Amino acid sequence: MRRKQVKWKHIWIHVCLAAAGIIVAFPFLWMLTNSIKTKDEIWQMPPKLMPKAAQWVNYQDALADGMFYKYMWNSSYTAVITTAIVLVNSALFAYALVNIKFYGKKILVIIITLTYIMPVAATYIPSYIIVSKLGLMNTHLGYILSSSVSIFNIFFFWTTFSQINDSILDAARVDGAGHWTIFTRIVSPMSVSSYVTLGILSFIGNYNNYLWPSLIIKDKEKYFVSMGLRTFFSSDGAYGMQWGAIMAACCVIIFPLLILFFFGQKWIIKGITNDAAVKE
Amino acid sequence: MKRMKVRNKKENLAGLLFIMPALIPMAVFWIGPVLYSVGMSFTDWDMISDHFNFVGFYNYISLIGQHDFTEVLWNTLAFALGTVVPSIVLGLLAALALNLAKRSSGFYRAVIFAPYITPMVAVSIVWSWIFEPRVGILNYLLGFLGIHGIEWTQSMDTAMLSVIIVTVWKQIGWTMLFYLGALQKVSANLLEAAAIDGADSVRRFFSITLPMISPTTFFLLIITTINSLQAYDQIQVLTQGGPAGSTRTLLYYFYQEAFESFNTGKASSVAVILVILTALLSLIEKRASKNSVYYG
Repeated sequence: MRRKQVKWKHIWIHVCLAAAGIIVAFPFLWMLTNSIKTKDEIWQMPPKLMPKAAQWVNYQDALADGMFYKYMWNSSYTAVITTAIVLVNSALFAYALVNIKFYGKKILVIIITLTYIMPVAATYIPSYIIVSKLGLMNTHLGYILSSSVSIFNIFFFWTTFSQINDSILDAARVDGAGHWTIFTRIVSPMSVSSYVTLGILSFIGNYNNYLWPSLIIKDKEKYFVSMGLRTFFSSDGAYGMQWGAIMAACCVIIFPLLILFFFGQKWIIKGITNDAAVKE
Repeated sequence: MKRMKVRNKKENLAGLLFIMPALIPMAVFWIGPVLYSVGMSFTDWDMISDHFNFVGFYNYISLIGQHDFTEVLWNTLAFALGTVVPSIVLGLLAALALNLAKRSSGFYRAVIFAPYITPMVAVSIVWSWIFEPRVGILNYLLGFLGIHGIEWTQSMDTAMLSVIIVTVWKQIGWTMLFYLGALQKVSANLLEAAAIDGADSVRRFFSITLPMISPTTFFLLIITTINSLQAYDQIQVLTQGGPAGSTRTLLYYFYQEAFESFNTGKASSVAVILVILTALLSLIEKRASKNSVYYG
């Protein structure tokens, strides 16, 4: 009797999960099938899930001028550099907060806690002016420099590092190890999963970024993927004349992220479910 | 004593060297600009001319008196409430279901998390096609339930709902992941003891699980609130703040004032109001959680 009940419960949960999974995944599925439909099939009512024959020509249309390759390159390389910078400087910063007793630490903690809840929009106008004063308007360097700090990363590392057992660090100190040695040889190797998690999340955040880069980057040649896609979407005057090609372009720019996600999933989940970022 | 002093000096120097690489960009592109924004909010600068005047609280007073600004504030709160609550509740439900399912939960977890990693601009474009009132798939499917003719992003009544749906859809995976971590830490012994004492599963959830994961709930409440106040991409793609300003939030209004109308002074005061609102909401959430968050 009881066994039967448990079995039913399981079936119910799987039904609910499957339903949720289909609903959540549907927009991706729709994007994929629409990217290989003809114009008539896209506008067809009632809609059909699959096209009669796959129209790869949509991909050719989207990629013909080679701009999307350029956008993806721009987004990828700036995201890699920005990610590398924010990983290193956030980890150093967090290490100092946890393990170094220095003057002004208390004030610093208050400042970054306040900055954590600060809407980034409050910085846009002055940052825009600073970037242009530095002569970096319309350059990728301007984007990289202005994005080279991540408060979220600092908090995440802060929590990770404070969970490391003090006795290990004390033993190293007794052996005469300095902060640099402790940071590079002990604390960092013990926090690899945080590095990977934040590395992937920072890369994704920068790759997808839209508002701030669109303020400081003007040339189409230098666009990031979201800006390029947005322009492609609203070009030709009428929205929706080229749905097939637009969906194809969406698929193309999402593809590298899905690959990254496929390989990085395990790390992201491990990193976040360890609850590193939850700090009271 | 002397040795102590030398050690302090060394520690201070090490601290400085370690914080510098992040502190410099933080000062230049975060803290400085926020203070600068506050200053500019008391001027009538237009970003182009060399001169500007100090106008005191004029920008703030004129904003508050403006009818459409009140609407912007309401939109912002509606959007915040409409995205924060469902994101947290649905994320928790997904995590609970995954926890119970065990088999193939990794697959569902990946599917539900996938929207989080995709560019908001791209998925908003896809959604705009799903929402299309005449040939969109959503209205077609709703037709089977006898629901017809919803205009989604093109009507004042449903535009906000459309933007909320996309935002929640993208965010559930994120909250779910944090809850999965929290649920793993809920003591199995405690749950078992309660079960032996005769508490049914509903009771166990409300008196043990929910209190034990409350720090995560609090953290997610703050994070999703901050995110919702900064939403831009989906609004820009789906509605551009319309129709008739019905999806114009504070951030969107700020963007329009700052980078479309170049009312730098006025836009800065909007940014400052956004900061105040964020702080206020965080504070309210902290207050509310004081009695209900369990710190084990």
